[in-house]
Amino acid sequence: MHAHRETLRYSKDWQEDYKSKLVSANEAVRLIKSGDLVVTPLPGQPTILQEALAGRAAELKDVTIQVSAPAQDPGWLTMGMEEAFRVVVELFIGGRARSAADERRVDYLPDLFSLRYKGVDEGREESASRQIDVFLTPVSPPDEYGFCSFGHTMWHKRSYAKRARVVIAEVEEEAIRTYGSNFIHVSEIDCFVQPPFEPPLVDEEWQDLFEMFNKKSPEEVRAKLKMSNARTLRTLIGIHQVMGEAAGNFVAPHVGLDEPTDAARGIAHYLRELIDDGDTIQVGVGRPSSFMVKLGVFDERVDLGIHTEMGCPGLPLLVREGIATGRYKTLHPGKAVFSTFMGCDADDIEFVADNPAFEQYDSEYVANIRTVAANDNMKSVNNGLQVDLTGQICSETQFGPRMINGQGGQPETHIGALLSRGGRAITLIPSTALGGMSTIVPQLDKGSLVTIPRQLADTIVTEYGIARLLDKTHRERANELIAVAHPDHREELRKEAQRLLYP
Amino acid sequence: MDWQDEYNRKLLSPEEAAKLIKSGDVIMAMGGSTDQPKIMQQAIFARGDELDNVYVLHGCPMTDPGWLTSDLGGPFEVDATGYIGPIGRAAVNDKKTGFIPVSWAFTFKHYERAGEHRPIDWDIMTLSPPNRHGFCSLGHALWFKKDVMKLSKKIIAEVDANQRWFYGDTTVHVSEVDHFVEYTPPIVPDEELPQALAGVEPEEKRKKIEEYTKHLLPNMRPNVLGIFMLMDIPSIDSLAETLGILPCDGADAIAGYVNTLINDRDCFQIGQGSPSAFLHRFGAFAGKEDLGYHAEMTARGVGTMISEGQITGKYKTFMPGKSVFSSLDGLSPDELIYASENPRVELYSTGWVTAIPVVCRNDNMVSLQNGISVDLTGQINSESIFGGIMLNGPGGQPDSHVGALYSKGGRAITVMRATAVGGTVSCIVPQMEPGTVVTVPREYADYIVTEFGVARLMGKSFRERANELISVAHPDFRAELKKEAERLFWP
Repeated sequence: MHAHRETLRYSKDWQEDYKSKLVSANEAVRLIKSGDLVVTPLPGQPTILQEALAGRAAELKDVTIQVSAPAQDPGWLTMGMEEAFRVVVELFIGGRARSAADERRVDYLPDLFSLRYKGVDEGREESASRQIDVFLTPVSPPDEYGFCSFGHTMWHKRSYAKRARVVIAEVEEEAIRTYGSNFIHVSEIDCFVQPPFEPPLVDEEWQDLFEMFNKKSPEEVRAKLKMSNARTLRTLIGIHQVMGEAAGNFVAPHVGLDEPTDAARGIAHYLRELIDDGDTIQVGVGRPSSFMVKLGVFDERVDLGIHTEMGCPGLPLLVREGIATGRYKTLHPGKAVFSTFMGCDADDIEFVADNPAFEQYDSEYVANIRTVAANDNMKSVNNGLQVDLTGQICSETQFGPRMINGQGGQPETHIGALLSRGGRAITLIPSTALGGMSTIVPQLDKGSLVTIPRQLADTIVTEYGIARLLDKTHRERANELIAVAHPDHREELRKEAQRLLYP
Repeated sequence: MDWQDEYNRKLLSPEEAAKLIKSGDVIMAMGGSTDQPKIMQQAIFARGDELDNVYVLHGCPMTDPGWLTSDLGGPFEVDATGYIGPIGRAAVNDKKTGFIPVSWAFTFKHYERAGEHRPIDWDIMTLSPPNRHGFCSLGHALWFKKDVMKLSKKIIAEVDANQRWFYGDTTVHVSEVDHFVEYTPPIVPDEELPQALAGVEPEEKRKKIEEYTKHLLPNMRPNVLGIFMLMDIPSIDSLAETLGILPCDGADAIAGYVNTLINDRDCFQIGQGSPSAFLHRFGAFAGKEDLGYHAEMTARGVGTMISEGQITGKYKTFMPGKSVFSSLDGLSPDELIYASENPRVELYSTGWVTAIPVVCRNDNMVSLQNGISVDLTGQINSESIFGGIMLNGPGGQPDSHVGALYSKGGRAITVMRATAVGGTVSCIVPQMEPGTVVTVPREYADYIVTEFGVARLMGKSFRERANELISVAHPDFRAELKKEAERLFWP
């Protein structure tokens, strides 16, 4: 199969090639052998391929499944398939894999988008076991030249496909096309599977969805879900059936149907002060950063640029509103650059399809700190869970070692923004969590993971204001942070600061 | 104007120059660790009764006119930035001197931002007497001198006749300095050492100090001698280890493993401290050819490798043929003389030398840094012990480390001893204690070398990292670590 790859590129005969590679899901996963390393990308993820692979649990042994924020569990995240599949989570954990991570049934791989394949590419012997055997990915149907797109969620899919021994693609009719390097040629894929036709939702099914998000009007629910295909919507209904009433709250943040908290509103108020006309922005996905666009943080600005690993609701529409022109970008001027539109809502995704103002590139490039730093006045906006009084930022763990999430692209976009001329690395942290506990802590608990070391801490925003830590001493940092802590905790923090940082 | 006239007109006595300082002023005393301004610090400190609310910022403080250890609320408020070093360590941990935890590359980042920095009133630093064109050399410890000059309103320079000349961006013109004070600190040549140490008891202590001091630059000696004399013998040995004089246990084994990770034609960087300072002595580079060098500072042996043709820089992809430094602190006295006015050696500002995008421009860039402890997920601490006691600052470590990883073929090597405190504690720990400083986050962890081998962490999962690290822990601690790893990472 490999011999075809380069020779058939751009060839007119790609249709033949495509037809010969169309197989059933069960046939496709027969390419996977015991001992293989199989990678599924960040969402969107192939669905029927994963199910077909899980169906081979009885025949396979020691297959490593590498996942990031898995959206489905074909069985290997729960118990019973340990003999066949060993699951390793990379980059993000996500809600679906969190309980498996809590119970330590899955292993975690701390890595970075930009250095993900350094060891393999440079031939380090110790990285041989990280060579991808099989990559499973969704793609659009081929266009007239034989190119498929990765839809609105390109992420690292192209760089994984490039390095895998075998690429198996699941064709997704609805996948959009975007500009940038969001394409892969039929000749680069080893086989294609076509999911069975999924009939559109019937009225009762829509009723179920309206009930699930009963805090929102049916019109709003329909609007937010208009870009999701029937299979995805039925997955949501499935979650509703399993989780009951809790499902709405669990799913709402992922489809842009939750409401900002008061803390998010307060943070938006202060974040506005830190953004200047002509800045290039990166906005991380999560709470509270995902609300920042809809809360109007950027509305008064002109000529913003966008260079971001992920999106958030309304970010692409800043281009339509004439706010994000990219005029002063020093890299990709005039273009809004994303590595995925995941996190954006349906209106955004409709707007970016076939729109030359937007480009998707692989996360390996977009999140590389050298790429990030190539834009002057780069402002990164990421979320933190905790910060200690010296400025060590923890964005991944709670109660010491419990991992809520992985580091994703945060270290890279943060450091890149600091390296950018005029850049600033902003971390949003609501002042309390878990029913009132302070997120500004004297010291991190034993076992906490430090996502951003203190020498790289820059600007922290809570709903009580802005703490500017860069080039501040320990005592000055403590004062800055205590001033933006929740008022109920300031006294205690002051006492601790006195004990830790004064004679 | 003739520069000689200008120089003479700008020449003041230390007392006259110190008189210019007003209450509320901000002073930067950011010289290198071996050539910080001395007479000006003393002259300003002597005016304590007349001054109020003067802020002094040090790099790595190596002299103390008295203000590092003064009680808070006095006329001088003193902070150290970036690195703490042996002299400031006690003052920082007694919390009399504040500390700015910033890495070199971002030390002046906030000066880009209106309203978010302290305007600097005075830069005090040392330089050489002017040459025939009216230029002065900033010496072997260039560090941030040029950046601070640019950011300060006024500059007072101590003219030190012992400052040497170097290639690179290392000179300033007489016209760029506001005031000169002439002061050449006394040096203690080898033959005067016995006299300087007369009266030190017991004899064992005197002999140790004499032996160790011979390895120091002559202009560094008066200062370090004073510190040695106040210490007990174990502390003297420990400082000698930090200064790269007395090797730590296991340095030979560590150097042996590092040797297996270095290839011909690599470009490398060595951090200050132990065990990195002993890598050359114990053969970490033995048999390697055409190496290159790019780093903010250095360790004993690097000068020898240049003079013996082992470091040629021939295959460097950035600044080929040149060994690039920001400071030559760390070299032996003979090596320093060799590097002076040697076109193979160039000095540039620390912020630039350690910037990640600059570091990674050399292919096959290898960083060699010291760690204090590492947890089983790969979080590296190079600054604190027992939770919150600060030994050092981040210095150039995080940026050189990350820069090496972004270099094509680059490797970031952290060297550390497997145990500390006489073998009673393992430096490989299950989890970091509260208050521990994480210098390099785990996603950037790469090679960890102890006297028991090499742990390869990049691209490894938690469980795999734990196995790698346990295999290089001291055998006495492996069973306990295995148990903890089992608890933390397995169901």
